[in-house]
Amino acid sequence: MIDYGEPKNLMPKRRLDPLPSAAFQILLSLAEENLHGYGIMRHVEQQTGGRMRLGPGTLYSSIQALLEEGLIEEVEASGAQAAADERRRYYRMTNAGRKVARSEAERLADLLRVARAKRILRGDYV
Amino acid sequence: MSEKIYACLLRLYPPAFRRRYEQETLQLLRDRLRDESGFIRRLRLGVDLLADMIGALPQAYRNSYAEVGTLTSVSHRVDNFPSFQSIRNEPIRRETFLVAGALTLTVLVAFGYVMELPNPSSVREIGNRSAIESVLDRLNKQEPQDLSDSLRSKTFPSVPIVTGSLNSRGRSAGNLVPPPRPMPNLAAQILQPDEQIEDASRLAHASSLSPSTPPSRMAATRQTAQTLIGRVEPNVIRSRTAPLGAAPPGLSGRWTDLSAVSGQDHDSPRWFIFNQDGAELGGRAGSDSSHQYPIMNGSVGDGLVKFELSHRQMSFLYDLQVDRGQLRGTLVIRDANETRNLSVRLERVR
Repeated sequence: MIDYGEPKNLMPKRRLDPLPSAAFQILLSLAEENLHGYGIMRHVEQQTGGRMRLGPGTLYSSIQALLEEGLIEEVEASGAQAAADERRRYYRMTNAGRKVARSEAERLADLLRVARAKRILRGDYV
Repeated sequence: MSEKIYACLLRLYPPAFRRRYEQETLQLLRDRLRDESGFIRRLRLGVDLLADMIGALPQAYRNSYAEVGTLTSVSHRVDNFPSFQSIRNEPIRRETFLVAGALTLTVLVAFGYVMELPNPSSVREIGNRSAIESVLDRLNKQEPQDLSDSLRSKTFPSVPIVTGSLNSRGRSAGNLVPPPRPMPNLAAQILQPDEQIEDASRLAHASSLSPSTPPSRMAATRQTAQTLIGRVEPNVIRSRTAPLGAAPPGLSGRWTDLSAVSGQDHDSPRWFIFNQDGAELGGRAGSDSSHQYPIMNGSVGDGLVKFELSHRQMSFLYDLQVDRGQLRGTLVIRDANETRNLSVRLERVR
């Protein structure tokens, strides 16, 4: 059976709309390089300053949702990675995932501007 | 939390999740156990795993876990282009069968309905038409073109002519052609009671269907036409005169006397409703709607038309000849005191 587009039930509405925080963090972690699950978790922990540490259930459930939405995809490991982590699966962000991540970042930026305009935020956050 | 305990807790996740991510999840746990040593960090790890399990279960059950594609080679994957994703090992759901069955049934019902509709091409065949349809079709084709054209613009307009064909439900698919001119009051008065007689006489003539008409349908058509004649034509007195020879083309229909009539003859018949049956001619005539006389001793043959009208002590003897679609000849008016001869010219009225 061949499916055109939405892998799940051909539903027009995206399940990741709005984008959950964990999914957004996973997309951000995959923005520069392809990572396996544990690498994604470490990147998320670093880019959030240790505030978010994805557990295995959240991580792989989110990865599965992103895969089904076509925002990330599983890729073959490169030569060095394959030699080191033979059993691991690597993921990369698709262009659709990049657009969604950009859109989510812009939404957060708008919120940040509003917060700054209302003097909720102080200091140089942006 | 040991790996075995976590492996047992993983049974709370959907089987599809476990089939796909169990090894990766355990590998991630092993990585974290390796990296996070010490009592505090292990305790925090255990709490994280429990909280993660509770929070991730709903998301895990929302995913479909359909096979979203094979591994994509980084070097061969090209973005910005539509791609196909194959879903394998996904069972066909029950709703799919219901929808497919409903659609199939709908298509079958629609196909059956379409097959029940009449074939438009067969409507034109007289064998498949009803008696009324075939009779009306012949009515529309009955009049010679030269005669109808020459009389169409005269003073005695006709009822609307039905053009086109009838559909299978007896509704006219054609147009009603309006009379070319407004109907004069006198003509309207005369025509009103005779509309059905005209149609009935035409029906009788039209009942001689084509040779290709099935005998049963022909008999039914004739019976229908005769029934209509008997119902609407009680005053017609048929001529008992012997036929004079070959009859000219049908004279049935409305005719009018176009000859100039002097004032003293204003009560002479001006309007005629002919009903020809072979060599016999019947019908009625009169000066207006209140003075209608039956045609008697009417005969048609060898281009000659003869008939009589009588009213009280007056009689009107017509001796006419068919001439280029008109009836030309003499009218002899007799009463108790005198006899007068007049030249008359009758034309068919459409």
